Amino acid sequence: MLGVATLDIHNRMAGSASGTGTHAAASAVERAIAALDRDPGLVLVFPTAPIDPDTVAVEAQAAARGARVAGMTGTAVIGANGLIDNGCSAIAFSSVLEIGVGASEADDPRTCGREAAEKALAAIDDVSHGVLLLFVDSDSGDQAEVVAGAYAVAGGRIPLAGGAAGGAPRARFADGRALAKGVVAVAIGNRTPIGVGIAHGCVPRGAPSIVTRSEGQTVLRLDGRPAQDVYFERLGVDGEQVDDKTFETLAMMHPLAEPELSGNTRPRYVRARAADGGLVCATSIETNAAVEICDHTPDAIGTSARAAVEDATSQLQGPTEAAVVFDCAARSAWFGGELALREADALVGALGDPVAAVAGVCTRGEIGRVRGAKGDLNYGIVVVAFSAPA
Amino acid sequence: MRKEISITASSSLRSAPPPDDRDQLRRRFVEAARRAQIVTIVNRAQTEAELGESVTAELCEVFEAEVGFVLARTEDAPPRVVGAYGLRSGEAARLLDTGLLDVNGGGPHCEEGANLLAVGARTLACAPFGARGARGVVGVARLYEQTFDEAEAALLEAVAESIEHALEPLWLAEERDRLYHEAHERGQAARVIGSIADGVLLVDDAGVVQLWNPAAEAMTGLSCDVVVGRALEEAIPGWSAIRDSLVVASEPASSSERATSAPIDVGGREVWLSIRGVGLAGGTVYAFRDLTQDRRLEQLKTDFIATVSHELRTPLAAVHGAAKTLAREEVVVGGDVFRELLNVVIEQSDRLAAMVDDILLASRIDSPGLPFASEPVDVAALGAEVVSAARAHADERFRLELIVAPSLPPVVADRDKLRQVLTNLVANAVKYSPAGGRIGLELKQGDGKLDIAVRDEGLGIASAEQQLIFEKFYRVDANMARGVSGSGLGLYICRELVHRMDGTIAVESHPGEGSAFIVTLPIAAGSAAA
Repeated sequence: MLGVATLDIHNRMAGSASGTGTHAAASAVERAIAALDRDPGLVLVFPTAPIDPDTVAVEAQAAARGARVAGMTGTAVIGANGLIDNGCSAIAFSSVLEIGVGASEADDPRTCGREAAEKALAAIDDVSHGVLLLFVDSDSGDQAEVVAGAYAVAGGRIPLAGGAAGGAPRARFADGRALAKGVVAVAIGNRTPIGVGIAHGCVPRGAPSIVTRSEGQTVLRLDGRPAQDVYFERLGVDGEQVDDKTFETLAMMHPLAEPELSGNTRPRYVRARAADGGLVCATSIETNAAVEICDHTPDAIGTSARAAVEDATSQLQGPTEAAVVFDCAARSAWFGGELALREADALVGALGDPVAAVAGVCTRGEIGRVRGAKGDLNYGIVVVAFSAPA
Repeated sequence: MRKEISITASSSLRSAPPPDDRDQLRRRFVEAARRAQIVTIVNRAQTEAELGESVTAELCEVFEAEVGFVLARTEDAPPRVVGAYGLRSGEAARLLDTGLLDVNGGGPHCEEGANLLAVGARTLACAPFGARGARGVVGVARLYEQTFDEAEAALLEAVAESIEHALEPLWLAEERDRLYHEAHERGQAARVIGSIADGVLLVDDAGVVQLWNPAAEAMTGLSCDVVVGRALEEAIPGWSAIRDSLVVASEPASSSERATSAPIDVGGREVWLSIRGVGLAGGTVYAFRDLTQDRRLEQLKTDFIATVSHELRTPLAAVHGAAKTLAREEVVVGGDVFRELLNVVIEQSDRLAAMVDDILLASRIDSPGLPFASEPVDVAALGAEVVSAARAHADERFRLELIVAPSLPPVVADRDKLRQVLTNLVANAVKYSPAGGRIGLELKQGDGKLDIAVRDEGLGIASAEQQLIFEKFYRVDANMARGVSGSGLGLYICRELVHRMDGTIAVESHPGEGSAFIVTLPIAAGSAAA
């Protein structure tokens, strides 16, 4: 039985749709292309678990009418009508856009990022207005290394966006193949600016601390004391009473963040407690780095979703016709229920009226770079917005 | 058009809105932490390249810049990109053409423009560093319009200072490693040159010898102390005679240049060398091989062919003459003459056959396929046979004697081969005793061995020739000045056969007083001592 697709959005350059059921991906792709109502050049597909990645890859490609297909799994996905816990979201882009898709399954994450980016960008002639989407694997090494590899090819002129696949099993898709590991890169070139908005909802609490000792991704000591002691003390929690489940919730709501000279912060997800009193983070933090303990509040989540959309759409030179969203699963989707729906509504609502074609995915680490050279994010929301070619 | 901005106390840099005290304190804290973080990264680097890679990536993060770079120029190395982040390799190399390394001293330096560094950068901040002849610059650039403020410039200056402090020992360490490596390579080259069999001679452009290896010493007998540091033609007197015939190639692998063979006179001794020269910066290197032995062997072979030709022709002529006489129809050959002619044919045929046997044996004697028996041999009985046979051929001028010590044990040998040795030695004694005299075959027991001596009272052998006479093709009377013929193989065959029987052969001789050839063979195991 074919899946059910809902809410087709169509305009001059993109169409989006979502689907549920056994063949949700094929259904979503078909309907997204139907909504586009012209030759598709690229279809991005974001299914949720449980799926058979190989089947999804083949079905999505078969339904794409010869267009390039790329995507990845998510903890949840986002369609034009909000959050989808179980199904598939797809967006089809017109063939008037320049499209390049590349994939790499190299063992080294930096090489992986570089190879995938090289292949994708090789197909783009004019990148004066472009973006490079990266669909990565958070289980295969430091995501920052993937970004560094892609940046080495793309340079500072091309914004980066994307994230790490979520759900179980996790997979990336490229042209009919499902990749259990590695990176898929999608280069999109347009004749008008493409907007990339980046935001997070983490607010520092109290004064920053200094990492006085770290080893790789584990912060061992803060301000000369065991990191866990400082962390619990700042949160006003008795650490001895905190079991693993409670810690998981605490960590989700109170990430660490690295403050930047600009005044911004870069949240860092705390993955676990180390046996020696350290805090295991999602990425490495250098000794002598300043860190802040943050609050991750529902209000800030909603606000940041709107801010990301506004940031992205403000860079366009016309009405927003399409958007692709990478939203950290540790934001509202982790909280679930009402908050998740509220965030998705805030997001879609901010994209304007009439509603743009939109597809999004809840990720396990985000990628967003517009300024500077770094782009690995935690707790982030990254919105890529498109307007019609002039 | 680009605008240059100096960071001074009265900077005209665009400033952010006045932050409140809390924000200001936080910013200072973050700056201090970032500075310490960069110092940590800088100090962790083990090499210049590692430092360049890690610090430029960190600079991009700290300054929220798209491009970070470190350039340097040291006294003994050209300007180079220590590290660059956010640039492709071609773009990074072009940084060296920007003149940033030529900025003299001063503090940090900022610029604004539309296409800075030729990569579309809009703002640029650089801070120079340098000490003791080395100079460098660290820089960051943004592709978006946000100038670097005073605090950022001060931070970059601090980074430059820590890079300078980190690079100095790294440069020293790299210099040390390079020197050690060069010393190791030089040592290795010296060991190779010292151990190869070819002579090596290095002469500088002034013609002074700079290198003279042990093989060269061994070939010429001229020590390194005598040769090195002196003019080549003075150090090697014979060199001037061959200098013009030597070919010097422009490349070591030049196969078109053949080696030159030439003799040099070293201390009155002629040494033939095969010499190949290669020109190099600052001089010429010659490699040479000693051809003296090869040439001597070649000469011996030439002599051998001449000798053998002569030796074959003589009996052939005798056989041919006798046969033609017998065949003449008009001449009636009587009984005695007939037998005499037949004897000539028989004897000369035997002589020819013996010579051919010697040549064949000499060609096979080194071969392991030549069969050798190992059996107890009664040398006294064998000696008696040899002496008896020799007496049958010797004329009345000779007195052949066999002197045997009592109760001699048998030796371990190949009976036929030993007979051949003794027959050769006795025949030589006869041949080299033109005036006749006593020829003795003397047998006596030594310690676990038996000595067999063949003594004559003939011409004798000069001491200089005594070591040469056992070599293949060597003949004492090569020009047959004393009328002694031979192939030059007899003593060579004797020596080889004796060696194959685990024995030794030696000669004692004085010119004009005769010679004694002593063969020593092991006594058979279990034989009773005398």
